Amino acid sequence: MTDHIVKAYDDELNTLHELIHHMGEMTVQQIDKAIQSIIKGDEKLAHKVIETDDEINLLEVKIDELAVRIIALRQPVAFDLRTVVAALKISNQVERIADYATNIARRTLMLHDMPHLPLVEGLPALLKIPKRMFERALVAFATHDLNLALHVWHMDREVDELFNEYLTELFNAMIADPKNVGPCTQLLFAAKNIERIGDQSTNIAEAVYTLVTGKQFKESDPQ
Amino acid sequence: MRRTLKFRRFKERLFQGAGLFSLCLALLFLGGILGDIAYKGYSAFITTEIEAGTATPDLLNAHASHSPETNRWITANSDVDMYVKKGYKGNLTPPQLQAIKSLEETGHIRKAFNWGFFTHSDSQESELAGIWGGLYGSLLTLIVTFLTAFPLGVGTAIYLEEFAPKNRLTNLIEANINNLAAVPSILFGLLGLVFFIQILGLPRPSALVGGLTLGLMSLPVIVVATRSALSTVPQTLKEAALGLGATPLQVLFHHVFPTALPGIMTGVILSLARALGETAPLLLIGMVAFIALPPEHFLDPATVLPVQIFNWSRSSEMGFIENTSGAILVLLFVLALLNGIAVVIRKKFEA
Amino acid sequence: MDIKIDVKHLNLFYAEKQALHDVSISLQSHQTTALIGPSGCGKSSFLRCLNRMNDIIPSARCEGQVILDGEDIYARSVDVVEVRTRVGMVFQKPNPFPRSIFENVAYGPRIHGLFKSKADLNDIVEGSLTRAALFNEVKDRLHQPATRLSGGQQQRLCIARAIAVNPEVILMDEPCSALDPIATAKVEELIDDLREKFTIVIVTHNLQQAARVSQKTAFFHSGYLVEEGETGALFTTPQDERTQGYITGRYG
Repeated sequence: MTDHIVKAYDDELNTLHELIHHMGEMTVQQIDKAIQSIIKGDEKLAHKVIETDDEINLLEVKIDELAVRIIALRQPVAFDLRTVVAALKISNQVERIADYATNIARRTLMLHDMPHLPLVEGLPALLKIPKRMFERALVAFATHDLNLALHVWHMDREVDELFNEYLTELFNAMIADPKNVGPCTQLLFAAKNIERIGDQSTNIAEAVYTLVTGKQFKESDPQ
Repeated sequence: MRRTLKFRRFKERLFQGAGLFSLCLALLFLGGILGDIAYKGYSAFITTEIEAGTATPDLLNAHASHSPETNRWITANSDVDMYVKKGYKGNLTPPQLQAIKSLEETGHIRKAFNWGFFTHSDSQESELAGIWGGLYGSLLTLIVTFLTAFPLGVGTAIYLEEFAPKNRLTNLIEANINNLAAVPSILFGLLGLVFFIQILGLPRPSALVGGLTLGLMSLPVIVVATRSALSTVPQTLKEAALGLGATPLQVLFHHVFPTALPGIMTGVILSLARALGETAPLLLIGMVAFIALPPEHFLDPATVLPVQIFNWSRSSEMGFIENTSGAILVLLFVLALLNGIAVVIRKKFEA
Repeated sequence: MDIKIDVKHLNLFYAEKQALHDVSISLQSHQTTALIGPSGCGKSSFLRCLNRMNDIIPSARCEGQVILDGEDIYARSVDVVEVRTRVGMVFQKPNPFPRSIFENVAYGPRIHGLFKSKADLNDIVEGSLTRAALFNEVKDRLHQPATRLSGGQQQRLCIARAIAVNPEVILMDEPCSALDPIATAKVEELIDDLREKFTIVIVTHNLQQAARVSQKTAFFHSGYLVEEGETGALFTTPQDERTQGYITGRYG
């Protein structure tokens, strides 16, 4: 798409994209660190993740303010308006994903006094697809890539399957030994958070769909 | 920058100075001419009168009424008049001069306002000659001019400006009208002579022929002035009326013409003023003849004020030189009055 | 929704230059249709085709049909005066007649003989001024010159003057371009009210204004009608690349 006649308008829209990109990168790091902390039982790392969440929250506020400013001063229409609206939605969803990372880090602290379970090693495998979905959704937003967004949306099915499998494993462990109920519950929460990352990524993909096509996303539509 | 600015300022002052100088020069010339005419002419408005029965007839005007019952103060003849007003002795003999002196001492001779200058027509005697004939002839001529040039000129202008299709023919007509406005007035005199007098056989030195000739002369000027007044009417005004469903004729008479009228009137008055001062074409159609009676109607032989001035100016007699200047003053006053009216109309409707 | 004006394959020429190319569009009754596009795109020329205002330009020539309530206004049997009575117009620059406020509004009814008595005329004038949201501001000085009103009041007077002849359609050619934001807001509010009774077509350079006042928007570009549709849709999801470029300020 060609540039605006008013250069400052382009600058503001670019800043909006950069902020979301930055927020996304930070959130990906948060997820990685949270998973590392839970596998290794690294409480220091877990505390660091929890502290860093404030920075991400601040970024979301910054994106909101910029988006409102663009609406007020530039009166965006058409694709520009949809970009600003998508940015508002996506920043909100990224913030939620960052919250999930923080939640996983909190599980590390809760697991401190509990017996170690080998099942915890299954979390990185569970995380693999939701993390990839999240990264690709962000790329789809940055490049207005409709196909990539649809691809992300389809990936969610696999996540659901993997989650259900992991859930079964956790239930089996709990039935085998009631002492496992405590740590298994914590792992259940962590797994649920990981699954939610996938869900939020599909929401981002849907926002990208609306941004590119101008239509609201309907589940029956994409092939 | 500073240096060039100083130079630019200097040029500006130089330009303004040159303008002021030429303005002063123009004012000087104008003042000189007007002053000369006023100096020579003011005495035309004054006449010398001698009380009845106190002087010998050789001092009195031969044509004035001499009966003491009806006329206590009798107009003196031109020699006496000149001597009393300006001190020229002229043809007066020493005894006559002596008699005037004694009359002055006893108060039997006086200077009075010369009403005759306005109420009399042309005469062989300068002290009895007046401008009434010329003034009245001018009035009749101008009426004819106005009645022909105004409707024809304004009508032509309205047609050309508002209705005529823009094509080669109308362009040619337009260009010719603009050129006609610049044609020397004497050519219109020739046209009048050939067309009105030789072809139509209208009576020769009449106000009708003079007025028609001047009308022809004023026509292009009125057309040009009216067109420019019409073209200043904003297009938006016409569109507003058309948009309401007014017909072109309604737009013209309800909006365009009233709005342009002050401009049209200004143009018409100025062109009439020009016609009033015109001499050359009227000489050609014979209005230069000596006419001692004011015209009674449009077909009577008539003369006009500028032609009368022209006639008087050819005389070497002192009294007629004075009359010439006096008549010029009257003509200038009337012209200034007409121009003043034009200015007033413009100012009043501009606001 | 009824179609008030149906334009079919309209071509407009100024001498040899073609100003409009095969424009077809339907204008719905009791809707405001906004015409947008860059300068010289033909939107004003198109507007002037709708009440045959282009007739006054000798070199203008029109092909195609403009069907007002089932009748082609360019048909031989139709009188242009009647067309302009049914399709009123408000211009870019407020252009009141140099007469009193009353006489401005009364002019249309007078030339068309739309009233039976003096009281009748008073009612028409008062009603039109009220409808144009101007009556309260001018009721004490109806007989003062209209030129003494402010720009915004003059424009509303022009609207009152247009509706006094009780037209069916009102064309507006950039009616707010000479007005300040407050006066603009008043006129926009008025346009929305007038829609109940009239069909309105408005040319505007102000995209936000088009978005605010219209239900339908049509985008013109170099003599072509590029895109038309529901205003909300056109401003959020324009279908044509050129429309998108123009409304987002990317047009070169």
